[in-house]
Amino acid sequence: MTQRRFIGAVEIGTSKVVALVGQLIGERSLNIIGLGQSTALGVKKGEITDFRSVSNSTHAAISTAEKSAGVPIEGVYLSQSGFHLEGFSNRGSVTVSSSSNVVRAEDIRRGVEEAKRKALPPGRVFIHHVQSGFLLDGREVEKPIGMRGDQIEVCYWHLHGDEKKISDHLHVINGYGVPVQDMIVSSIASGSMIATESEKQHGVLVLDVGCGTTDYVLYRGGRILKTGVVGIGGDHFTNDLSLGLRISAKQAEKLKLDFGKAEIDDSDKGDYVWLIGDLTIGDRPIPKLAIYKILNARAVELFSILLKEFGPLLTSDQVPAGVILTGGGSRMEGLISVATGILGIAVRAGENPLWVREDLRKPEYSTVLGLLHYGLTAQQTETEENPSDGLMKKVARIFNLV
Amino acid sequence: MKKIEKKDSSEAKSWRDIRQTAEKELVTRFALRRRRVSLFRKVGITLVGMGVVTGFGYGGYYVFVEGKEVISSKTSENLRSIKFGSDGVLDSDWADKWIEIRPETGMMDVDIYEIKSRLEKFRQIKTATVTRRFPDEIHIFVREREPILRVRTKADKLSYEDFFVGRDGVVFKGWNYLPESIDALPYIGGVKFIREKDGTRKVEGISRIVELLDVTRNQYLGMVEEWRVVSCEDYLGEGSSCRGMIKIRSNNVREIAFSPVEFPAQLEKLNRILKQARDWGIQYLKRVDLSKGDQVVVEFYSKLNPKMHTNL
Repeated sequence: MTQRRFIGAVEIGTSKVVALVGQLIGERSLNIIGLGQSTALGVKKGEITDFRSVSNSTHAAISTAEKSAGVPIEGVYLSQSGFHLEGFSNRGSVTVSSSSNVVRAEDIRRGVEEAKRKALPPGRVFIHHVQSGFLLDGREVEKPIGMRGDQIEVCYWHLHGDEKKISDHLHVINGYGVPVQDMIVSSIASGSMIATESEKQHGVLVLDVGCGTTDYVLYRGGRILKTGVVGIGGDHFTNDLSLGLRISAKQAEKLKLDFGKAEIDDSDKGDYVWLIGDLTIGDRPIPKLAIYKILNARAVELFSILLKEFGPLLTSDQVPAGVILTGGGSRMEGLISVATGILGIAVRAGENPLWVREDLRKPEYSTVLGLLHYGLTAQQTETEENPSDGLMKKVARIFNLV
Repeated sequence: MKKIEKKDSSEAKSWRDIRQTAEKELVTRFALRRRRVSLFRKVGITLVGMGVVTGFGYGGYYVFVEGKEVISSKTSENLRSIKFGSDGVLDSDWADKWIEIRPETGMMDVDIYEIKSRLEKFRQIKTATVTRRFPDEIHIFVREREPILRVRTKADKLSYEDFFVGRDGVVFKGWNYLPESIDALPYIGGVKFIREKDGTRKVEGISRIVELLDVTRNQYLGMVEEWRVVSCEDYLGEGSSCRGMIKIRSNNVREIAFSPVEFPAQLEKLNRILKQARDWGIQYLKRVDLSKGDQVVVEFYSKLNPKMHTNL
């Protein structure tokens, strides 16, 4: 009989919490059978500031997703975002042990151990160890096993974060009564959905413009080279409008969504939009150009920070597949052309795969879809390593004894 | 929920080293509802499991311990009545005498196969069906042999005994026949008897006789009712090898000789002869020989009418 398992993917974002329930069928395919969303309260720039409010929002989203799926989930794949996330590159260097200087699996294993041995400052924990390639006697190689050399280096990109902030995320999910099976950094989750294997092979930068932050991941040679977070997101654009036009945050958000454009368009000079739009007291005309200028300034700042962050890594030679924008913030009109102008390479809007149902193809769902996709891959690996459970284990699982 | 043991929070190397646990005071209403549903499900599964195990246990006890007593107590009810039916003349009085089952015998103590065998030993019965109808009845239905002939045998030096012969040649003692129904049956003579393994006595080679009687009964009922004796003294063989003649003595012809084949044609000739004789005012004929094919020999009693050959 085909084995079916139900996994959950949860993204706790600054503006919303999204939960998806996926059904794994026979470790080969995935059906999305449940969706739940709620407004995120108590989250700022991807970090939890009010535990109870976040718990309520998250549990409401998971509960809705379980109801729409009709099944309880057995575990959650959780995204992680926020300014506290940092990454660094480290190499584990070992001498090739065999007398004939042929690289063996044992050498790779020692190199991996060495690469992961890097100590962290107190209060920090590793989230990912992403293998980013091999160097054999200083030259880049794809698969070193069987090749001859003296020194083998295993390159890793390590992602770490604040232990307390990660622990808060874990406890929010645990409070619902489910364990967190794995944690994935948002940018990696988005990148896995948006970028194709070919683009990852050639070199591509994926930018997930969220509400509180912009997460990025750089691929080349099919591997992750660099990840990071820029503390500018959709909320900053809204705040700028609110301050610049002296309007409320709610009005600013509405203006941004209805009329926002990151590119300054002189043809709209002299055009106005009504603040409220129904001629009530307090309603006033707002020049379109004012809106565009405010948004453009923030957009330029965002991409300038990214340009400075990447430096020589961000050229058309290094990243021939260009830049892909995703996330809710990427929907702002004109953002792509601003990005192209600042970064100097091709920028396009990311698209979720066509096999995803239509309501989930919007760019703001790329992270949570990536989590589910990650979960599928992880389950496939787990099943290969561990055969299916016996009857007693299945019975014990009913009573949460295992 | 899987709990990963934490060594020390300051030494945690991976997020997996962080202990996953839920704080009770920070549980939301959604989580409480989920826990309740999960608890109900577990309790429900446990109760259903216990119910299944109990059901199997009780069922097994009932079947293997108490069930035996129930079955035996049900079937040990005593026989109260025997319902008897027949397609012939036998009735329940005869059945009571012939079957001889003691009243108040236990239902399962009644050997229905033995009763069937005993009934079929009475050769008037061709087949018997005996069934138990719980709680306290036996139903019997019999199919009887139809008597078509009688046969007289010597009982001792001074007396004779009559038996009946069925369509299959089985000889049997009759019971309960009305005199008027058996008086019309002709006797059969000049036959050989055979005894089968089960003791059944049969008349050998009777199928042609039965055919003759059936054809005559169907076409000339009045004629067969006059027939008194069927003689097979000169009749030999059976089936395609039969030869000789079948002789009939009737009320108005001393001897009618039939060839054992082509009965309808012979009967038609006989009918015409008898009609002609009646027209002539001749009541009795001595002999009509139909066995010679197209030629029919008729012998009269009167000297004034010598033996005549006639082509009919």
